[in-house]
Amino acid sequence: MSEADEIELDVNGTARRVRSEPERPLLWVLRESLGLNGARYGCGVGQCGACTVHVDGRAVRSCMTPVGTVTGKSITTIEGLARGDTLHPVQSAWIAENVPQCGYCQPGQIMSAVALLTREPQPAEGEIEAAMRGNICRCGTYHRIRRAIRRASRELGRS
Amino acid sequence: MIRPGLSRRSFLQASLATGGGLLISRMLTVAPGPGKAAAAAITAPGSFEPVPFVRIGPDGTIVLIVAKTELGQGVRTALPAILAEELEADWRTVRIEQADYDGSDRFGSQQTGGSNSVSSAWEQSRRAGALARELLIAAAAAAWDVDAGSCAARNAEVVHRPSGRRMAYAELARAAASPPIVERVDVDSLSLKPAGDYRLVGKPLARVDLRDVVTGAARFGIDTAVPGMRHAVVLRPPAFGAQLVGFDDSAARKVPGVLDVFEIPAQGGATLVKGGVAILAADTWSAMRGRDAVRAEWTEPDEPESTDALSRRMRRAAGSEATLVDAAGDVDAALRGAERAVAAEYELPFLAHAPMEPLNALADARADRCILCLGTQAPEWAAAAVAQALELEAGKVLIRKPALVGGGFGRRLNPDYAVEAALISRQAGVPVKLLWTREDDVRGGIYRAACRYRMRGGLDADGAPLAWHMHLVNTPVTWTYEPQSGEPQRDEVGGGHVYYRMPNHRFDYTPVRSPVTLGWWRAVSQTHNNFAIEAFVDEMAHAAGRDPLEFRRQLLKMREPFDYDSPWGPIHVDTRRLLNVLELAARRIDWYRRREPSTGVGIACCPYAATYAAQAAEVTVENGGEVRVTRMVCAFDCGRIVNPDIVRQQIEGSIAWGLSAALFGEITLADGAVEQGNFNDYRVLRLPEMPQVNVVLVDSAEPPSGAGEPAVPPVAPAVVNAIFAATGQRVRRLPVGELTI
Repeated sequence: MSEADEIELDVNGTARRVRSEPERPLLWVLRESLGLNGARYGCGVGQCGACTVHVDGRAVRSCMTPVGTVTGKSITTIEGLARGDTLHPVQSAWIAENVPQCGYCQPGQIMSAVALLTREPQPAEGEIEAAMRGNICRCGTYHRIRRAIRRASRELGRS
Repeated sequence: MIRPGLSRRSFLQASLATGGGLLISRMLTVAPGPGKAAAAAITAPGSFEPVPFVRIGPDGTIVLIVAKTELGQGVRTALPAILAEELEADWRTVRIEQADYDGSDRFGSQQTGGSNSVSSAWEQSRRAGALARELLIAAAAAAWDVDAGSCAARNAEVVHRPSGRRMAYAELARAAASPPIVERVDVDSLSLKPAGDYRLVGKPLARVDLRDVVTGAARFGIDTAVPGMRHAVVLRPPAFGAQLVGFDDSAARKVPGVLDVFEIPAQGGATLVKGGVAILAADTWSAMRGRDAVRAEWTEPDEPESTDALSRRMRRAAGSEATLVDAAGDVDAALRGAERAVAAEYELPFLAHAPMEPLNALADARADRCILCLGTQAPEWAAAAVAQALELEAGKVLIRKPALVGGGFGRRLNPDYAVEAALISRQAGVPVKLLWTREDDVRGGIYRAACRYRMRGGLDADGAPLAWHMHLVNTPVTWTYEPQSGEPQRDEVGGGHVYYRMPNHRFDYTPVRSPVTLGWWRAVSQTHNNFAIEAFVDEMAHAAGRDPLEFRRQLLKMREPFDYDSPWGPIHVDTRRLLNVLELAARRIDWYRRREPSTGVGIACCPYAATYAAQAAEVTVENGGEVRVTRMVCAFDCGRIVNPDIVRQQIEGSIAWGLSAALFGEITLADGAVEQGNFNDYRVLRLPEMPQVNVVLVDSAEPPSGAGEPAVPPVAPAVVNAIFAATGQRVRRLPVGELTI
């Protein structure tokens, strides 16, 4: 177990400095050192996706990502998705389809969806399933998540 | 009636006892007295609180207060909408707040569960809104010195009809310097809007928190922080019945960030705090690592529970003595005389809740009081349990509720995690946020019980049912909280009264002991009783050579709506409403269309919480025995619908919830310990497994009834019935898993 050290992170486009052991999962650094609570703890073992953030544009499970491995990389959390007051098309689609129920897993769902649509703006059904199967929702919003992804995909196709 | 007056004193006393026997004893009481400013509804300078649920601040913002916990079931949107409708508030600008629980009952019961939030709020919120509206009208009339009867309220303003003068509600807080004199108000005589005038109720209003949820701004209990807060996890008993002997914290204390390690003793009674070792740390991850480094010794339970041992005990009990729950006719004679006998035994597993937000509680325990931030479905119980554990006077525990809670499903009724947090905070002398890890949650008990059914049925020569015998064996929820209760069946028999016409029927119950702790899981005993009824009536239909839909239809048509006695009072079953949803679901799934080989449709229906639900499932079984549910259709009658989109969400969610349990959900035990630990082995439904869903909502003017749970029970039986239709194979043990063809 190594010592805590000063670590510089690029989070949502801003340089942030934290003191942490390199093994500490990024999830806890985001939540408890940086006050970014949108990435959430649901299982701690990469099974539920509630902790999903982007590292260099790819969806990763921050509960399984040691913070020492993401220095020098670009980290995006749900809080960094909107541009000021302008929501990301996926966030707008989520609202239009009334996706959330309790809302707890939704940031992770949205981050996985954004990563998918960034990689593949017109995904086939199988690609949606593969990209989203790692995100659990106990309220059962899956039906509407599919619709919101297709809706956002159409929006992105238009622009 | 309410009329404006000249005196500066004001007096209002209203009681909201209604014919429905619903909540609220007093809305607002102000005793008149010399020199007492008429604080009728003035709680702060410029602030106006006509009823506890409505506050108009000095800046004119109208705040609506919700006393039920938002678990995802939409109460933060639906309940204020009912209030705002009668209040004539401007929905676009209202703000919503959660009520704290401070020991008073001015909001009525804050317990959230049993699918009764909207149904109980229906009367309460309409009358609260109407009362507030009448007070605002009276205040405006007083300010204008006109007769209140010539004024009306619409869209957050009061209008004086003859002159056209208007005053916004926002201004009334400032203008209402001398609040109106009101006489005793008969709340039942308040005029309520006719349904035809509704602008909010019945509309699919968007949920109020959508933007916060999608931007990550939403605050759940787990996101809450207070200055000086520390974090804790608890090393818990590894088996049911195990007790702490001792522990070695030397390695744990060396983990950076760990501040302290100490025992939390088990609390007796119904709080179910099982004790263990608390690890206090500066942050959550350090606490978890500290816990991994604690070496603890536990006693071996006398009889370590295992799934095999419990199954054996339940199997023996199914053939033994039973308590009669209800009966009609003579089942044994009818079975002897039956032309055709049908028999089956069903086995259902323990089920965990596994809400996405793991249990957590933030407690600040001081010498004479305790403040908690708690996502709870039962703040009254939590406050009482914490007060008792800390030896505080009742009323010295304040429960603040986060705006959003990441799923309740019945797990958050229990006060155990609140009491643990309070005890740790008391010992540590600082505010403490306690977290249950996912492993703690999956292994920690408070499950839906494992159940065994012995079913026997008899048919006559024409295939009509003569006899129905249902014998339930399980460990009763009641014994977890009252181990000596002489009425263990009380929480187990709900939904077990067979609603199909059976000339001779009997429902028996036999409890078995188990150290596994149990609780209330979404739709409670209906989840197992409705399974047994709907799976077995299907077996009887097939034994009679009849179509299962037609068999059910006939049996429901032959039975007039009826009442029966339950431990909770008389229950009414409207067989016509039940038949209606059955038919609607069957029609929507195109029941009679022939399916390809290996694909079948199954159906089930369920009366629960005065709501009627039917689920139809279309299932394909692939070559290897893999079961794919391709489509679910739910027809749902919950009376008048306050928000149809939220009701649809609850049904979609109930389908996902019910399928998780039917297909995969299973908690098993060996050597006293739970074998599962996280989502890798306590499997739940994921997006690719979610079938196509169609929801048919019945348009009804009956009073609103429950929507959170009733669609859950018929999911599993519809699926096993569909599997039979597809393969000829009867699944009698859940979860379905993979079939051996």
